Amino acid sequence: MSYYFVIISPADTPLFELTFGTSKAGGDGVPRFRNGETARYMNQFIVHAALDVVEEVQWLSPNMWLKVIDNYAPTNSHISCFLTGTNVRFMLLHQPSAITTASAGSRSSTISSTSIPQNPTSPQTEEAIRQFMNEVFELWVKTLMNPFYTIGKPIKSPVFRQRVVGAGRKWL
Amino acid sequence: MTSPRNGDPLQQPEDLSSIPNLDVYKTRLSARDESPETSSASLPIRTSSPPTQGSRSSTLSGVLSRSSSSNGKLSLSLARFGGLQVNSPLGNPSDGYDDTRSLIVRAFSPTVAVYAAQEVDELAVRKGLKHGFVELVRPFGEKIPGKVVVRDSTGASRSWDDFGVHFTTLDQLTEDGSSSAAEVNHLEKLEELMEQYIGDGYYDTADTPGRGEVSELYKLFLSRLLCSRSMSPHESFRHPVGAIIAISSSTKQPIDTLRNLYQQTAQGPRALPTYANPEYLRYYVLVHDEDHDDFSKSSALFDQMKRHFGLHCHLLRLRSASCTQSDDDAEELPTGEWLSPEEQISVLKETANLIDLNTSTSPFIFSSDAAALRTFVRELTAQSIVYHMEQRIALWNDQVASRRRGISGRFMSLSKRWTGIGASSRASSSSANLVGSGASGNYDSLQGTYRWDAPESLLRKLADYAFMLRDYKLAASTYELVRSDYANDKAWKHLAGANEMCCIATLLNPLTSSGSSKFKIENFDLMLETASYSYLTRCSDPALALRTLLLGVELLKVRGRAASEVAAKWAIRSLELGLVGSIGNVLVSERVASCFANRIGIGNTGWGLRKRKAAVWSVMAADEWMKLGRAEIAAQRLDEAQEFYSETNHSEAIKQFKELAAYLEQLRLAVRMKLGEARKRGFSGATRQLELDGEVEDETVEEMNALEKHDSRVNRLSLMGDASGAAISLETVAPLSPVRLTRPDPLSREDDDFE
Repeated sequence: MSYYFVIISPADTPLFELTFGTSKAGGDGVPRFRNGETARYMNQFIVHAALDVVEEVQWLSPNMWLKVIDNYAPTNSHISCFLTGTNVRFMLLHQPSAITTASAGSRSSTISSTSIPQNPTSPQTEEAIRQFMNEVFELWVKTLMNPFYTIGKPIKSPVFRQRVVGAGRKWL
Repeated sequence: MTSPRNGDPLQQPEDLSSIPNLDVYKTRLSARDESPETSSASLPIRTSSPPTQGSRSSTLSGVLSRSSSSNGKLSLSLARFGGLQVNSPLGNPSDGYDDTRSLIVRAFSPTVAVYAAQEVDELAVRKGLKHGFVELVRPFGEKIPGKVVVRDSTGASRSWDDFGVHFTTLDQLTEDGSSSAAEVNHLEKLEELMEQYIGDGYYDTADTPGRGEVSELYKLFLSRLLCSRSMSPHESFRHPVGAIIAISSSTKQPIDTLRNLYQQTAQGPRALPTYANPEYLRYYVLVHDEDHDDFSKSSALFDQMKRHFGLHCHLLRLRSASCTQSDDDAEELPTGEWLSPEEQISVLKETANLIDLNTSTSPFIFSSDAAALRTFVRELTAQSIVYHMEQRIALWNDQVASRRRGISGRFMSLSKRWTGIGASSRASSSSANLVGSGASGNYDSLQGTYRWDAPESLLRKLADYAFMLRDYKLAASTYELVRSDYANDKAWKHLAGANEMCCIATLLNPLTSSGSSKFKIENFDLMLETASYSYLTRCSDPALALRTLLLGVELLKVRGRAASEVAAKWAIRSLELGLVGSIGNVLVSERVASCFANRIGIGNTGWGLRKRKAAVWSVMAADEWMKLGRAEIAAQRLDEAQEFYSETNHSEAIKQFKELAAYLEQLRLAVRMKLGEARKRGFSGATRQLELDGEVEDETVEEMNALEKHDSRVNRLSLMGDASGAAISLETVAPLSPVRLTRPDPLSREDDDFE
């Protein structure tokens, strides 16, 4: 599975972006999007388009964690969202690796179909993403408390980036 | 704006070249205003007219015709505006829905077979129609002049303006019935046809469809998809409702010939396969040759015919001499709207040379003939075909359907299903493997057919007749009834067909309002799912699967918020399933965008809108159009995307996504470059005739503004630097003219950002 994580401000601008791959099941943490080069902008397009759904769904659920809210079928991407108090949105696009059924058959002995790298909609994956979001939320709150950070500006802190990467490695 | 002469170094010195620029700017405004009606009204004509006609005409004539067309627009647009509001069956329809709906409705028209004696075909050939009599009547069947009154099952009569019938030869039908292998490459043919259109630059962007409207190309695609059907066991739209048996006044032994022809349709080589109902209407036509034969003799013969064959007779008076354009009362034979992709391709090939000569492509006939044919087709349809269908519907409804609908009928089918009482006796003979599975035994699983007189077959036929007569309520309920039978028999193709048509009939019924409790989105979702799955996986018939999905999408997308979401989902699914080729892909992407764009928010809050999604799909479509080399359409899509983005709450935010913004910029640039090149070619001579004359300017005027501004500045600079600066001015201007567009200057780029 490949991930594109972005924090979006209330004004819809990106505050923090990160792409990474799975570290579970022998993954090396390098993203491999199936649409190759175009993924760089396509992911942004897809996540930006998912804001439409977020705006709708955020009023229907009492939770901050909105689960998978949208998907983009042509690249088989799923988008999960986590809302924070100030309407800053954490969006995670996750795309299962492009393993065809043939090769999946040979690997099925080691990886169950519900494992995180394979199935983007299984409860396990959902739980993992929730944990990831919670951790990032904590990091985010701490960053907000930093006197050198202006609210509403992109986050440039390398420490924050490093910690988010760490969270990604830990959970996803 | 600076004057075009001065501003654009690309232009040749001739005066002519400055005309289109000014002219187009003028018409452009009116074209925008007017777009909803032009596209709605011009559809049948446009698709039917030989496509390359207009686009291949020379620059000058293109300009002239365009400017002249802007004259009478005001009155037209007013009249049509009123009409558009009134016609719609729904409370809040989107533009273009009526159009698509009418296209779909007209696609499912009754089929009438033509079986003519040799003499009649010869007469037609003498008139310049290669394919014989059928080619002569076919165009006239597509729209019956005047209103056609249809009585539905409850006895209420409704009149239709746009009723039509599809004529085809009986030979073709029986051939279709016997060989089903030809079916396979329909989609490829369709793709090939679309490629031809797109390559040729057909598609006047002059009447650019506005947002959310259906583009001409998509309509073309859809209509070709709908008519690429041959006779098939699982649906009876292509089974003949009636057959015209025609003889001519020069036929020897006319009555015997008629009998002979009839015999052949009944049991000879022209008999239909066992799954098609052979009890269709026979309509006897005597073609009187005005130029050669004596009318009194024909009249006597006709009286005799009437005595023998009853009411379903017609005397058609035609002239046998061929007609040329220069004749006084010559009239061009209209081209058929419902040509299948194969036919259209062959027509295009045949007429390719003619179009280069700028002559008309279809043959001419005398207007007296045309009038006679119109009367004939009207009489045939209004008095015989429709009446026959009404009778059949009443009969079957009474004898087959109502028995099933009542309580005892339900009980019967239940007992049949669970105990196998009804099934066992018959099933043992035909298909032993189905015994006990609850199958009725009427289904021949090897051939995949029901015999025409099996109740399942008759029910399906009843539903199809009701559908063709636009009694959607009866049709939908019958499809629903017969659906479970098919499921029990594991007749997958029939099942898929019944699900498909049930869904479409329910959606076409103007009385099923989106708000009522009966209107459940999940049902449609399920029906589409079943139909597309069965078509694709169990019957491997992608063309039908695509038809199902596209029709479902078109009809669902106007049915409120939830439905448009489902529509978008299915449109995307059809892309995912790989049902369409590269061109189909673009067209369907556009439809996805329009599904999202049409979604209505709640109140004024904009809650639940899908503007961003619509924008993304527009951008994707633009990208695809660029790949296909149609920059002018790509430019439209980009503009549309821009509009969508600017309608969102934080429209500026999109620029903060770096890669995305860079990509958009790149795409925009590529489009502009392409347009610029095309423009240059357009000016370089009259040889470059095609699409780009007017249309491109349409798009470029705006885009070029920035560039022109800059260029004029350069010009001024070069003028200021006097004689000594001449060399410099040459240097600055000369490289700019060809290369300018490939390497945009910083100034222009600043001007052109998101509004």
